[in-house]
Amino acid sequence: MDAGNSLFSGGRQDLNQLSQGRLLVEAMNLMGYDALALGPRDLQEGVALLRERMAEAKFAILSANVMVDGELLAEPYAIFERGGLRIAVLGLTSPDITAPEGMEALDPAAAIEQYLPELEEQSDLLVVLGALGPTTEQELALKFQAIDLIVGGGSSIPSNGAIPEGSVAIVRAGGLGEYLGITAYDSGSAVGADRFRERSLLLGPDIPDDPEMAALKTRYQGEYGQAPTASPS
Amino acid sequence: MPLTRRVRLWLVVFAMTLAATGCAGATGEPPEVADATPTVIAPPVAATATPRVTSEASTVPTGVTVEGQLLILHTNDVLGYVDPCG
Repeated sequence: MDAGNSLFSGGRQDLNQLSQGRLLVEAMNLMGYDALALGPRDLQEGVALLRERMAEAKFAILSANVMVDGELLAEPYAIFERGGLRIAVLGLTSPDITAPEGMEALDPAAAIEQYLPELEEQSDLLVVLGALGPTTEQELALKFQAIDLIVGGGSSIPSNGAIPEGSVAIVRAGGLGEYLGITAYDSGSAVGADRFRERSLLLGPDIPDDPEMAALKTRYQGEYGQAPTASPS
Repeated sequence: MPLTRRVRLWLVVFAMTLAATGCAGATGEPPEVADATPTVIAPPVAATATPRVTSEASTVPTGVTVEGQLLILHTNDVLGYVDPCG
């Protein structure tokens, strides 16, 4: 899953931005992502373009607090069944960056309050997904101890370990694709935040390219006229 | 680091997870999202899942070995949005 701010590159005219985010969505489809929570940066290109990318995604794009004309822009949550567990993933978007005209990110805490009862009923594990930033993530964890795990972001520093806030565990992968966050859950005899362990894996140059992904990138380079050597990572 | 390398790693780790749990077939199915309250059902993963680095993934640093009933792989801000307005 992805905590957000990943769809677009903004002012940097890299291959993804030239494709208006199509490259990232197609890559995430190929990787088999399950869910992405909209980050405030994902809103910055406007609602029309965002909806185009959302329509192409084969994974759940979530936000329980971004409104367009008084209605939710995306599904608020998804429930996955894995390992015999029903895992509810509630997507949240940080309101700290002003959304473009026509979109509004409401208070994340209010969104949790709204959806918490039904999610507790329908799930064994409640995951909040969203790059809300360390301070907000900590506040929400302390306020809503019914949450099991917050997969957060908004910091370039990976948590490299599950951060306990009462019974809630908070993890962050860090930014810029430098790390992969690997969160392990094991109910076993552990309780509360101790059920989660987190590793931040540095994605260094020793990791070989995936042939399918390399082919995807080459195809986009051809489509947008970029020489492979001039392509951004 | 090239995007493709990151993707390669992701696929390797995920494949290892599935191989270790005997849950082949759970990778390719994207979640089906219902209208209001999406429910996504996938084949269950064995509760005794113990993902380990295999010979196939010998290029993955040994630090990736994580044991658990369930693994959640996560990222955010993978490209780094640059505000065009500064």
